[in-house]
Amino acid sequence: MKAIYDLLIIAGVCVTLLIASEIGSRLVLRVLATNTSQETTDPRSQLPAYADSPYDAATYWRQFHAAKHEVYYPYIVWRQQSSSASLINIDDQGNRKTHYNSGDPAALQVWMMGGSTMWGMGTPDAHTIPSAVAKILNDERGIAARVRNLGEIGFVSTQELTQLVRELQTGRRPDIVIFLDGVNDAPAAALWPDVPGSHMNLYSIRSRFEHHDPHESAMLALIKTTGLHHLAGYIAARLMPKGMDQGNWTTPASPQITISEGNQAADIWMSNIRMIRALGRSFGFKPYFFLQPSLLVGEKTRSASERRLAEKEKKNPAKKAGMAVYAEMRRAVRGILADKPIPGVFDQTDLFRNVDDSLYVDYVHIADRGNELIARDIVTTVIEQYCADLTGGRNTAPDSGTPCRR
Amino acid sequence: MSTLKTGFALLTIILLTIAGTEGLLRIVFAIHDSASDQVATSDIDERALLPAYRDADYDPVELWREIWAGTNVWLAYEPYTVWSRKPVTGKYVNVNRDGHRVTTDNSTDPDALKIWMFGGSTTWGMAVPDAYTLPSYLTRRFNDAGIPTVVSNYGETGYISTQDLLALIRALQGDEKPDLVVFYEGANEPLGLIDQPHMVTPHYLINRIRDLFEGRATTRHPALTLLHESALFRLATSISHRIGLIRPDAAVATFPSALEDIPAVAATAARAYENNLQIVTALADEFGFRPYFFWQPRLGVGKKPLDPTETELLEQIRNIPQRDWKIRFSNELRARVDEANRDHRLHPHFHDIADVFSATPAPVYVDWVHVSHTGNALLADRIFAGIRAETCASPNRKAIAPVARPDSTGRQLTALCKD
Repeated sequence: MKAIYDLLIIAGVCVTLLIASEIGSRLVLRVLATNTSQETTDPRSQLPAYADSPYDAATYWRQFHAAKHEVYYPYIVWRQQSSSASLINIDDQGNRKTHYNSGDPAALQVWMMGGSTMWGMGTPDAHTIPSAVAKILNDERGIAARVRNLGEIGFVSTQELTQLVRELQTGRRPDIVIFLDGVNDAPAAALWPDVPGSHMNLYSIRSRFEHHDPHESAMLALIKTTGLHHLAGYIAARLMPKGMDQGNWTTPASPQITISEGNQAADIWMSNIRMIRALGRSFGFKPYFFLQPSLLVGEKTRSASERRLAEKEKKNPAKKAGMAVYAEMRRAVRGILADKPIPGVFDQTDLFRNVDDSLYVDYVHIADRGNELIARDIVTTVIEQYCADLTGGRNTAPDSGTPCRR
Repeated sequence: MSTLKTGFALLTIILLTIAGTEGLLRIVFAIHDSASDQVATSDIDERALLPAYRDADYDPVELWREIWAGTNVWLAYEPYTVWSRKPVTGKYVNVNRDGHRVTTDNSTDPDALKIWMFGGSTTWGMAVPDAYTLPSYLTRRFNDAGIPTVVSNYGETGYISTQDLLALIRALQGDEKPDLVVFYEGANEPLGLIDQPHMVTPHYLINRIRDLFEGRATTRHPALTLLHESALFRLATSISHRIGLIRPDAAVATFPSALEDIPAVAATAARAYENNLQIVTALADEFGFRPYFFWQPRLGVGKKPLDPTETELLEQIRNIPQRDWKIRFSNELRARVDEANRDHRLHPHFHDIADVFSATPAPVYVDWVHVSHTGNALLADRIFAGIRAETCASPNRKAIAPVARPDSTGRQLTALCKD
């Protein structure tokens, strides 16, 4: 009887310990999460590209890491979760805030699509490319304009086409749609050549769907929600070598494969351009497409800091290989355009050729000055021309706030 | 110290009592269930026994077994369209390496007319063997009319019109281009709205898929699921029902209040469909194919003299609030789409064929939307007639020949109009 009583006590102690461990794990995870968000300053904030910034770059990057949280969106797969902070604001549709927009209901409707560069990774809301375009149009050129930032971190051109389809479905209509692409399409083609047009992180997203067993027992599912399970996962992740969604990218690709993947990325981009142009004709908007600059692709007079940055980025095999494919994609696009120019398609990769200031904060993202240069190029290359065409060759007068719409 | 010891012992006794009762109840329920299932054919899909399969020259039981064994929407993730299938080989159900259901009786002529057919499970061929899917019937109609034709089945279980459109976009990114594209849709449009009534064209199982993406196992916390699955819960529910504490249908009676405004939800869905058709038309003009849109029938939508088994099926559906809502919504959506068609806001190749079974008293439905081979044969006849009528009525013969392959396609379509 005594043995049974002892067993009951021991079992009771075990259960209590288990509950205590669960509570402890949850507390530890909470502390870890708080510490991570307040962790050391992102080294990018110390780069010379931020030397003249009117904001605190360290605060920006802290807010960036706090805000970055993908949530599921049907068909386009993800957007960032709605959030609000002094430098980064994302609305409930996942769109980054654009400053300097006109309040005129007849204002030119400009939609801007692309990946993280268009979204504004590296700059606060007021200094993203869409905000810079809105500022130039409304404040400098006197063209009343409303610019929407539809850029999203990691988006490839097929996601943008899908996003455009979703926008058109709802009945919203733009006058102009600007696309800034390349640095995500190329690595996607390199990582998953068997799924042309794939979005980024295909394998990790696929595994969430396919490795999920819909008949998984509730007990197992419950165990997976415990603090102990999460803490074990956290420790395991720390012990494992840091990796990324590498796809097929296990060994350096041969030059032939790099060329082939570059060609595939170019073909997908061109195919998407063809479809978007068709939608533009049907829905009455003008689309323009820009191949974006990168620190590792395209000419630039690099500053000392950018030279160091480029060397560092090249040591990352994924980025190095991805940008090698991007270089091939650019070559293929140039070849296609040389054979048959397509109106509204522009190669912006050499935009910074004569700029020796520090612009880049990593292999592709740029700070305020770079964004402003891209925005000015977009305005002068296409939007001014668009408005001039509408007004029979007359440019709209500065400060007149003239709407420029078809 | 002794109070603490007693506390620990008491905790163990309580937990052991709960576990023991749960275990005992599970044994009791298992015995009870096996006794009541002895008559039921537990591994047979009951649809296989319906009179809609009366004259089938295949085994419906085996067919349904293959459908459930080899085809599951969870099997493959697909960018943008969300899901597709992995290859499957079977007696009745075969899916090729592109994830498409096999179409039988296609022409091998290199100049054959290329038709891509999009839609949900009815296009894919749920409820019928490969040879009796809509695409297989359609290719036979064309080939029998002397027009060498290859119909590719792009249908997928649960797809709504937006997924069909995205599947078309993905297919157009490749080198192959179609001559004709047929969309057969309508019935699946409400599927995702049950979960997300405020969203524009949400896909089927959207909440579940969102949970998977965002790392949540299920919308309901697993602890609650565990509770719901327990024998103790089953016993408590059963007692509550018997003494009238809760109504049996209470759990399924609740769904988002936004769904109550059916006209508003249907109006949004109809506008999205209208825009989808405009997008397809723009792509058709660019790539030189001819699009055709067919609005499908479903049980409770469209005029059909119902067979007793179909009446019973419909009554069962109407007794479940969500399913009844889908019928009411589908009728409203159909009215809105037809209105858009009358106002010439849809492509001229739009056809509402929801009344296709109006002269068919024989049973065709095996559930709320899927039809047996008899139904698919009638549908294929109607789709073939619709395509022929539109093609041959074209005032401009050059317009018949898509720019992609003007010679061969023009020749095939001209042959279609001979008679």
